[in-house]
Order: sequence, then C-alpha cells, then structure tokens
Amino acid sequence: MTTISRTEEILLLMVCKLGDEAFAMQIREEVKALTGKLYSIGGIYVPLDRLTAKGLLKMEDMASDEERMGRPRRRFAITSQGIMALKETREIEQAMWDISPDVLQKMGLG
Amino acid sequence: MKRASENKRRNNIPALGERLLSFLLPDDKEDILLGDFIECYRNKLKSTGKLVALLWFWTQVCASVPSFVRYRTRFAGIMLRSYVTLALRNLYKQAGYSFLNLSGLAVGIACFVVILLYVKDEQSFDTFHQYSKQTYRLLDFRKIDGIGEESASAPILLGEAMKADYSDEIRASVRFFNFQAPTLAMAYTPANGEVRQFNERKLFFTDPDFFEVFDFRLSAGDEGTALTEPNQVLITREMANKYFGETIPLGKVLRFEDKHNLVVSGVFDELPSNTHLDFDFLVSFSTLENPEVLRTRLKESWIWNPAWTYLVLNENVNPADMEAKFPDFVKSHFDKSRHDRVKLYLQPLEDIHLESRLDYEMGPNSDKAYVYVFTTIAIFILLISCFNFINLTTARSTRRAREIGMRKILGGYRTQLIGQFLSESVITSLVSLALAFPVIWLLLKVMNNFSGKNLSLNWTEQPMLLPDLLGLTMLIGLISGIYPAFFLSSYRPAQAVKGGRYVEASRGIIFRKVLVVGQFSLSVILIVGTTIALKQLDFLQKRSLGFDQEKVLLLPTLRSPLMEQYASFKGRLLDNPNVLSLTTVEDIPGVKHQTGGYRPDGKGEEQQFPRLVVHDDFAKTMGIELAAGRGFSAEFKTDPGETAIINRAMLDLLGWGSPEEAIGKSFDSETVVGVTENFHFTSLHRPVGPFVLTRIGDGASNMAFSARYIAVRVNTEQIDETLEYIQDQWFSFTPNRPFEYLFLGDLLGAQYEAEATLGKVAGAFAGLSVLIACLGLFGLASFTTERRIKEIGIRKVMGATVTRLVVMLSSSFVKLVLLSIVIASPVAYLALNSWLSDFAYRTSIGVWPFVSSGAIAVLIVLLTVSYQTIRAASTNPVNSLRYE
Repeated sequence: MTTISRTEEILLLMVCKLGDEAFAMQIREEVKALTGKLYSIGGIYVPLDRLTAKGLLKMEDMASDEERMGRPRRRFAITSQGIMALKETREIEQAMWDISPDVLQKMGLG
Repeated sequence: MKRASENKRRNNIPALGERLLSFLLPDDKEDILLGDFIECYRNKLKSTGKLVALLWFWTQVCASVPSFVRYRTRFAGIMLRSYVTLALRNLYKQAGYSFLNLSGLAVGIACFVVILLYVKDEQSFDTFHQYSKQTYRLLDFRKIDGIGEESASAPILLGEAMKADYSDEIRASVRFFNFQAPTLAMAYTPANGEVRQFNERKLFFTDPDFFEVFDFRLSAGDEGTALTEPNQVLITREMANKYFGETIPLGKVLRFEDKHNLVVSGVFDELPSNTHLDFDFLVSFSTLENPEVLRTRLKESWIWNPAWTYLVLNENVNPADMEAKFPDFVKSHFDKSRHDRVKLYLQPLEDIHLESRLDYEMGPNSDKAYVYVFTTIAIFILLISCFNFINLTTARSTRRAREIGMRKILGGYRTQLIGQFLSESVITSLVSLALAFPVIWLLLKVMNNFSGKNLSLNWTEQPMLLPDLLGLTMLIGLISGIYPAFFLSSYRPAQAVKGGRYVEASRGIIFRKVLVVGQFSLSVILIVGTTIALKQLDFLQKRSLGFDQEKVLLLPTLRSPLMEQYASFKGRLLDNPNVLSLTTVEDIPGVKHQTGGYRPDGKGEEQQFPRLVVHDDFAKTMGIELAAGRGFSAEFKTDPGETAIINRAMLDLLGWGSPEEAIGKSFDSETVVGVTENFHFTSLHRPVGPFVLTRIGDGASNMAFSARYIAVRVNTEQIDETLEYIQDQWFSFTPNRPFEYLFLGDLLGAQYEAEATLGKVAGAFAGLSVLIACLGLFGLASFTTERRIKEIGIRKVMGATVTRLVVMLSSSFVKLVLLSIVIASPVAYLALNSWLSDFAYRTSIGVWPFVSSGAIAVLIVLLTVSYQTIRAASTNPVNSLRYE
C-alpha cells in the first residue's frame, strides 16, 4: 500500500479532474482555487515530479501551440497505480470518518 | 504576416527576461518552464494589463534566483570537491615533477611579491602626510647659460615672504635648516658621570608648522608648543637612549655646540622610514634668533640659500599658476643684479624621493629608473615561472591521455574536463602560493640586507595584499591552465585509450618551444643586464678621479672653535711623520661643492661656477696634479682673496691656450696662480666641467664657516697610531667637541650606493630567474627523453654510441637557447644603452657580456639536461624497447 500525503492526494485528484487539460499551469490554478495555496511556476513541478517518480503519474511533453511561442507543454495523467493509491486513500479516509453521528454532533462536526 | 509577428512580440515576455530565465532555469526543464512563464504572462496580460503583468514577471524572475543559486552551488560543491581530490592525488602521484612545478611557481611568486613590496615602498615615500598632495618644496635655480646651481634649498626668508605675499594660496610653510653642515656637535653631561658627546648628522632647525604639514607624531610632549619657543629640541627615541639612556627625557637639557642649552620638549617614537625627511633632532627655528647661533646678516640674506622650504598650498590652487607669479616675486624681493638669474619652482613633495637629483639635497634620493627596472625584473620572473608552469603541465598531460579518454568514454563533457584541468592548475598555483610564503620571508631578509630598507609582509598595514595575492595566484593558475585544459580535453577518446599516450600535435610542441625560448630570452636579458650593471659599477669605483682619495681623512670642523687655532693645530699634526699634509675644504671633494659668482673676463654678467674654498696645500693633500703654476701656500701672503686656481676645463672654456699662458691672468678680481689637471669634483654621474679653487680667508668667521672639514693626508701604514695621535691633539685643542673622522674613499664609494644596490638585487633575481627556468627545462627534458625512449633504444641497437645520443638529445635544447640569445641580445643592448646614457662616464657594452652570458646559459642548460639525456642514453635497450 502506498501512503500519499494530502498535497499529493489533491494533486492526483486535480489531474483526474482536468483530464486532457492536466498541464502544470492548469493544475496550479485549480490548486489555488481549491485550497488558496499558490505554487510558484517552478514549484508546482516539485510534487508533480515526485509523483511521477513514484509511478503515480505519468507525463507527456506535447508539441507547442501558438500560445507558448514554440515551447513544449507537459501534460500529466494518472496511472493505474495512482488510481489505486487514490482509492486506498479514500478508503482510509472513509474509515477514519466512521465515527458515530452523536459524537460528531457533540464536537460540532455534524 | 507582419501583423501576426508584431502581435507575437507584443504579447511575449521581455527578451532580456527570457534570456535571464533561460540562464537561471534548470536545463532539463528549461523549455517547459519558459513555456509556462509565457503562458502565465499572457494570462496576466489579458486579465490585468501590461503594467501589472510586467511587474509580476520581474518579481517571478527575481524570486527564482535563490533557488537557482542553491541548486547550482550544491552541484558545483560536489564537483569542486572531486576536482580538489583529483588535483591533490595527481600532485602526489608524480611527486618529483610536482615539486619542480610547485617550487618554480613558488619562487616566481615570491620574487614578484618581494620586488613589488620594494617598489611599493619606494612609491609610498612621503605620501602618508595629510596634505602630501598639496605640499611642494621651493626650488631655487640660479643659472646663466646653463652653468650654475639647481638648489633644493632656498633663502631663509623666502618661505615667510611667500606666505606674506600669497596668503590666500598658501596654507602653511615649513623650513628646515642645518647651516648646510655635515655634522653638528651635541652633548649631554649627566649629574654624575662622563659627558656624552657626538657629532650629529640629522639635525634640523624647523618651524612650529612642522606638525601641520608633516604627519610625524610625538609620543611624548605637546605638538602645539613643542617648537614654538627658542631652544626647544625634539629627539627620536633612539637619540633619547643614546644620550640619556631613558625613553622619555622631557625637560632635560642637551648642549649644542658647547654653547647653547636646548630643552627636550618632545620625543618621536617610531618614525616612518618612507620619507625623504630623515632626522634625529628637530630644534625650534626661533633658536636661530640668537645672533650667536646664526648671525643676523646671514639670516636675512637673499643670496645664501640654505633652508629647505616646504609650502602647503590651499586646495584648488594650481601649482603652475603659483609658479607663474614667481618672476614678479623675484623682482620684488631679490637684489636687482639677480633678477635674471633666480628662478623659483615648486616641486611636488611626493616626487622628491624618486625624481629629485638637485644640488644640496637633504640626502641621497632614489631614482625612478630603478623602480622601472625592478618592476620589469618582477614581471620577467613572474612570466618565466608562468611559462614554466604551462610547460610542465602540458608536458605532463600527455601521460594522462588514457585517463582523459576514459573520462570521455564514460560521458564526461568537454566542459567538465576543462573545468577539471583549470581547477587543477588553480589548486596547484594556490599550493605554490602557500609554499611561496617561506620563500618570501627568506627573500625579504636578503632584500632588506641589500637595500637597507625594513620591508615586511604586514597584513594590517597592507590589508589588500592577501586578496590581491590570492587573485593574482588564481589568475596565474587560470592562465597557465588554459592551454593544457583546452589541449587535453580535445583528445579523441579512442586514440587516447588505445595508445595510452597521445601523439601530440606539432602545434603543441612548437608552443612549448616558444615558451622555452621566451623563458630563456628573459633570463638572458637579466643576466646580461646584471653583468653590465656590475661592470659599470666596477668602472665607476675603479676610475681614477684625478686625485688620490685613499690616503685622505676628513675631520668635520664646521663651526668648530678649533679653526681659530688652525695654524697651530696644523703644526702639531705635522710633527707626526705619518701626517703628510693637511688643508681645509668647503665640501667633500669628489662629492659636493659650492658655487661662486665670477666674471671671468672682469666684465659683463656674473656667472655661477662650481667652486671650493680651500686652505694651503690643497693640491698636495688631495694628490691633484698641477698642469702649471703652484698650489696655495703659506709662503704667499696674498693668496687669500687675491688668487685663484682653475682647472683645465675652465682653461678650455675661456680659451686661454696652454696652462702656462694662463698663469698670471686675472680671473674676475683674482689672479690665476695655478692650473690643475681635470679631476672629478662631483660624482661620475656628471661630466667634469669648469672649476675654481680659491684660498680661504684667514679671518675667524671665514674659517668657522667655509672650512667644513680638515682634510689630512696620512701614511696609511700605521693608521691606528696616527688616528690616535690626531685624536689626542684634537682634544688638547677642543676638549668639548666630539672627535670624528671619515675616510674620503668610503664617502666616494657611497655615492654609487644606488647602482650597487641595483647590481646586487638584479644579480640575485637574475640568478633566481635562471634557476626557475632551469627547473622547467629539467622537467621538460625528462619528458621529452622519456617520450623518445623507444627511439633511443632502437638507435642503440643499431649501433649509436652514448655520446652521439647525448649530443642528439641535448642539441634540440641548445638550439632553443641559442635562439633565445639571438632574440634577447638586441633587446638587452638597447635597454642597457639607454641606462648607461645617464652616466657621464660609462663602460663600453662590448660583445663580451653577451658572449659570456650566452655561454653561461648554454652551460647551465647542458648541465640541466645532461642528467636526463645521459641516463636515457645509457639505459639498456632491452629495457627501453620493452617499455609500454
């Protein structure tokens, strides 16, 4: 079982969400919209590269378009391993939250 | 299309930013990241406008710098560590050659540093005063038709008069005065003890402004009041110990010339040595107001110019503008008869030590030419050792072909190899720097011994020296490393690995030969230069001066009461059979002279001629030959004031024909009674010119003032007894005046001290340069012979003798050295010719110095390479053919 951090979980989910549009800059925007944290342009690659190295993501350099002045673009996609990891994480999460509603109510989390 | 491209440009990130980013960003992701940057920039541009987008962009660029530095340095750190390890490992592996390489460079750096310290010290003279840039010495030139004096000192009143006339321009003025006396008598009598009396050479009367103009600080006493009152004296710590045996003798009394009491009002601790003002005693100028110390008539004279006068100009005052006003000043202050003759100049204080060679200097100055010569030697030696370093490194590198090939095959970039070799040579040079320090220490001792300076490596005084030295060494390392680095990294891996050694391109061999020729050319120039400098020195010291200096003693007597009894003193001395004759002289013959104004034909303009006022028997005492007539003699009562003796040069100048014809002619108001052969009345830097001798007046004031020395001709065989006899007589006449004697020969020799220092220092460094060049040659020879070991083996098998092989191997080096001699000779000839042209009397250069230096060079080279060649030639061919 591969444990992944919350950041990695978010990034994996964003990649899934963006699908064919999962380019670094778009992921960056999504993370910002979701959590308010803004990665720097180079900084976003650090966790993405780590995930790729773990085999949870794969990447593909796309040919350029007009918008990027001839520079290539790197697209990320989730691997089956990545999907497995997400699944496990969700299961753990659900197990974690499996607390009686009364208790949750008492803590103000209901 | 045009629209589209405009659009592109307009929406793109700034070009400069793009370039910067592509430099900063990690290489593997550069394109992608740049694309991202552009994309984000465009989004910003659309949403917030150009200004905000640009601002955002540049912030981003700046923000990426820290991570770039972190990333790069970590990598560089790893590489650097590996480079250092490699460099040290290589040094260690070939310890012998490393030693040659390192010691050559170390000695080179050490020589360079030591000479640089010397030159820096020479250039630092008098630059440490607060106003040194605004301070000038007043020069007083009095010449007609080029004959006369160029005096470094001026009339006593001049400084004050200047200050009064130009109060807006002049901030302060200071005079130094010592009666122009070679020595002055000083004494101290302790309450219970023996009197301590000495003749002092470095005593000056000076103004209270001294402390404002010059930055000499008292360690005891108050600078504000130390020179303001009459009869105050400031002394150095050395003198305090000499007279009082204590360090701070404030308030104690020194007796000056056995007549005047001077109160010690201050003590100087350590005085800087880089100043032309060399003093032991400073007496307040107001002491001279007492007419018994200096007669009022002399004090107010505008003719006598004995006071060295320094002016501090206000800021923004141009010295040239000041000098333009001096002709008017001369007209309003000097006597009318001297208006045309007197020219006043301002000489920058900082120039005095290196450039001033005037009459009546305070002391001997150095010469700018020597600073240039030394700098050249320093650069030569540094070049030689750099060449050495390059040569040995490239030669050694051929051995490393296999390593380089392997590195390339394993994926080493060429840039990495270049980095490796550059860092290796820089590291090697830094190791040399470390080795250089003990050598510097040693050389400084030698240099101080030669030059009489007190140089040291002082980090606190020269804080920039260490970083400069580090920078220079690394630069040498880099420059020396460039050729090997690029040459080595260009090896083709397959060939290099296969052969184990790389057959060097002929271009490389030629390059190395050029370096050897360069090295030896520089060495030959230094050797020839030293030979000629020593030859010239020898020539100056051996040249007959026209008088016999070896048997003459000088007793300083200026202002001595002894002169009132000169006649009886003379009689007493002559009672001793070893005292041959004696006279008095106005200055040291062969070193200094005074000048006198004469109208040779009795009318027209008065001209200044070099002159000495002397007593009877001058020619006899000095051993000067008379061409005609007689010397001054006690038998002729009219000699004082009415007669003159001229030299042959004067005779020729006046066109009086033969010496005999000149006798009896009148020279100004005097009658010529004798003509001497030419003799050198000043140093051999200047040619013999017209000269006048006149007989001193018998009056007490004349005798006290114009008889600075008694010159005694003695029989040198029993010199100790004779000296004792003279001393006893001296004290029987003047018990309270210190007795001192000088040998004229020593004084004359001292005039060529600068040349002697130059010769010795140049000789030492020429020797070192040859040593360094030989170290390099030794290393090179061993490599070339090693490379040819197989060839030698085959030749031996074919029947070549050892002798033939040695000749063959050596001849290539000898050829290089011969070429160096051919290149160096004309350069050396031209340089030496221009150096010699400064001397009025010079040795001929001739071919011998070149031949002998060449022979020495060839011999040294043969000795150096013979060890290698003989060893290679006598190895058993079986072994050498099995090599590899």
